[in-house]
Amino acid sequence: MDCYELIDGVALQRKLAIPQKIILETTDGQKCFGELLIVSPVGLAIKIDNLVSSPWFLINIQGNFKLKVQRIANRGKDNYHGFDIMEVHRDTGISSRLNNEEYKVLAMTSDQLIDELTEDLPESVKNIVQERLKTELEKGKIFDALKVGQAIKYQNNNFKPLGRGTEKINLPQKDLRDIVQKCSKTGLPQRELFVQEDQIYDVHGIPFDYQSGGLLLLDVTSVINKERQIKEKELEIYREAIEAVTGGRLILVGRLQLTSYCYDSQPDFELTINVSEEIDRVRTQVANLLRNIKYPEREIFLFTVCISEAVTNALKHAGAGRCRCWVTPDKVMVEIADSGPGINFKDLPKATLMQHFSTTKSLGCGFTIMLKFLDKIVMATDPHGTTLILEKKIGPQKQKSIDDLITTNIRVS
Amino acid sequence: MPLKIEVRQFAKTRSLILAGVLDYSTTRDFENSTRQLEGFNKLVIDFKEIRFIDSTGIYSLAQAVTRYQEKGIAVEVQNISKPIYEILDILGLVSTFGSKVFIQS
Repeated sequence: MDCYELIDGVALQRKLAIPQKIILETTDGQKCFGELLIVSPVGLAIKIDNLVSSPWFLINIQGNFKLKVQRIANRGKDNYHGFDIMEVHRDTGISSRLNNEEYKVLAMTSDQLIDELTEDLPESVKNIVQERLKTELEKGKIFDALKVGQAIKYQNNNFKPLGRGTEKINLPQKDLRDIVQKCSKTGLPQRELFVQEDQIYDVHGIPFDYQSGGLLLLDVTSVINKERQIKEKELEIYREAIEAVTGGRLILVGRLQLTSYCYDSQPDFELTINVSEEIDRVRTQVANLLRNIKYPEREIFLFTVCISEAVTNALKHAGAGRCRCWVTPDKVMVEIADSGPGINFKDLPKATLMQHFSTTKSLGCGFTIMLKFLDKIVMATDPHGTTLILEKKIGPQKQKSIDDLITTNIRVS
Repeated sequence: MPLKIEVRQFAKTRSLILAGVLDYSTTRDFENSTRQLEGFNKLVIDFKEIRFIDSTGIYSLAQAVTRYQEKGIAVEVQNISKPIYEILDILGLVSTFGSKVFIQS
């Protein structure tokens, strides 16, 4: 069947170079999705897979004007249907046919429109203007092709969706107005993230002048989720690598897992450290507890060095820390927690694994000592703080070395 | 426990006699005292009464040693207790500067 027979206005019928996706709304609000194939000032030929019956249909053209159309009963075949234009609704009024501009907007591609609009410009500037407009058009096409969001134009407090085929995002108008107000106030582009139920939206506001501009709403939920997955995977790799390199002595855990590594009983002592002079109090308290169980002096000294390193880190990076200590017949365990910014992922290997002293300042010294002496270090670090659990076994094997250590007269201050 | 620093002078040798702890709370005092020394060609840092040292203290000690060695001044850190020497050794100071600089008691 010849599609040109579907509608009237043969002389001005024009087949679209690229079929345009449109939505036909029935009188009772149902939606049919179609592709506009041919346009004349008085009719449209549309391919519709699931056309429902309706006395007439409304078609919204890019938010610019609305067409009230009626299906021509005896001319359609299969999914191809002809429609008479009954009314054209535009800001300036209603008419029974498309005017020249509306016809061109529907019938011509954007490139053809640019060529036509710039036809009368002087040759010297025509190519420059055409090139610029087409570059902007290409950008728009890329956005359309991505189908990642919705573009909205705002004028005063009215929002008008731009483009077609874009995903509709239902963000509260209040949120959009807030961004628009900021744009108007500053005259500068604004950007904010909004969380709506489980979705995350990246909203960009671009002011054109003090009362109008554009809003670009991007659904970034999948991007953010992917980033989270990558971060978790990254941490998992660090965990496994660090655990392997340290022979299982340094264990990185999440904050929630900490409880399974720590006692929930009353600690043998607990202290909050706010100034560097208090580090010595922690060392003295721990040393006294260990002397009570006849722990070797050398081991006490080395253990207090480890605690001192962890407490010093808390003071240096968080300004304060909390220390809790448990001594049981088989091990001594100290937890040092702070509310600092945490150790950055990329600094973790350097902070924990850097061996040997360097004349350039390194984060690694403290951890080198701890890893050399302790049996286990459990660490949880995130932007809310860092917690370290230091553990040293107190076993018969260790007690054997007392004789070897008796020669040292060092007492921890 | 704070750090006590006594400076002794004998001919072209300066001695810093340290007592107490050399840690995060006292390194600034130590750094200030080493910066004020002038007019000598040998520096002895006596660790006999040092009861505790941490990595911050070790870092400033190493910096002082490096700074004076670069000026051609001989440096000796003497009377280091066994546990402190062990920590310096773990961190590679003894192998970096040599056992003639860090001397165990």
